[in-house]
Amino acid sequence: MDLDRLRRQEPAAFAELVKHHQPILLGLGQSLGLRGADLDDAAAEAFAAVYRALPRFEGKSELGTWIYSIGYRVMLKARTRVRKLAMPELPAIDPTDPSQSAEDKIEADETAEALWAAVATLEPRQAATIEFFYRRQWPIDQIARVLECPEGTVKTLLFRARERLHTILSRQKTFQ
Amino acid sequence: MNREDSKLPFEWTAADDRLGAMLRAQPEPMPASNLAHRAMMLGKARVEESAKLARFARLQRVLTAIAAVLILAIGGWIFRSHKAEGGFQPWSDTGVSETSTTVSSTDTGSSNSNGSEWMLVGTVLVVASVAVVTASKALGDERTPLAYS
Repeated sequence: MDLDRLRRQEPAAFAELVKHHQPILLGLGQSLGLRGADLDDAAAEAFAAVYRALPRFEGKSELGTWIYSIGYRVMLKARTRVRKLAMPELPAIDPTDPSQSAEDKIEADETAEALWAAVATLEPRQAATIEFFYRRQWPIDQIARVLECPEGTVKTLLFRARERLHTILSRQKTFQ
Repeated sequence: MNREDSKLPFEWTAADDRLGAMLRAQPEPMPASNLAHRAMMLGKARVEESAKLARFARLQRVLTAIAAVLILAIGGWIFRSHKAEGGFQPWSDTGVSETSTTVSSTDTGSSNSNGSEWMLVGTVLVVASVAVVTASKALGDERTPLAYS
């Protein structure tokens, strides 16, 4: 991505940036419990903050890390504002899987709902850590840079969140 | 996935594999088609809003400074003119003159008058200062949330 064009806030370059980074930010919002219009609004606010800050981007960190740091902070504010978090309301996992019986599918859907509801109720930094570590498969140091905290803190967050999710999900039949 | 990373604060198990698989199996949220455009418009609007707020804050500071200078100038002018006319009487002296000076009733009257004016000047200055600060704060409170809405 051309940083000079981005710093000049050229619409085409910015549209490319949004297209490239929106899946991660939307996924992060999803893990923080934001859904539907709230998620769209939070993503728009996050990218608006990025847009405003672009002329000041010095390139000391990776562009992606910088964007996700800003996005994370904005999403957190949005999460605080949207007090009532919508929990499930997610599409079912792999709806076209022919190997699943109807009963298995219902069980799997229930487990998925329980999982996402559990993730959304985690403390925000724990939810973000789970999103980045398990779903995006990022290394610890990258997560630490985005959350702007030491690696040790990320490990603690990950450990606690994992314990909590395992406890909740161990009650689900399809997770065992 | 098997994250056999020495940095991990726990031992990777099959449950972690399942957890990761379930999270990744969830379809990505569909972005709004005009997200980039919307973000750009929002970003520009916020920049204008911030500039407007900064201009307003500057104006507010200038007006407060002018009001402070005016209050001090008027206060100083009143003080000076009263001092030129014979000065202010201390409160305790006024009290003494009221009780002990029965002969010179004119002087006592003059002292009382000076004391009342002094009190009036002080009260006006205090009220003016409070009014300026309150108005300034009220305007600031009214405008500030716009930048974060």
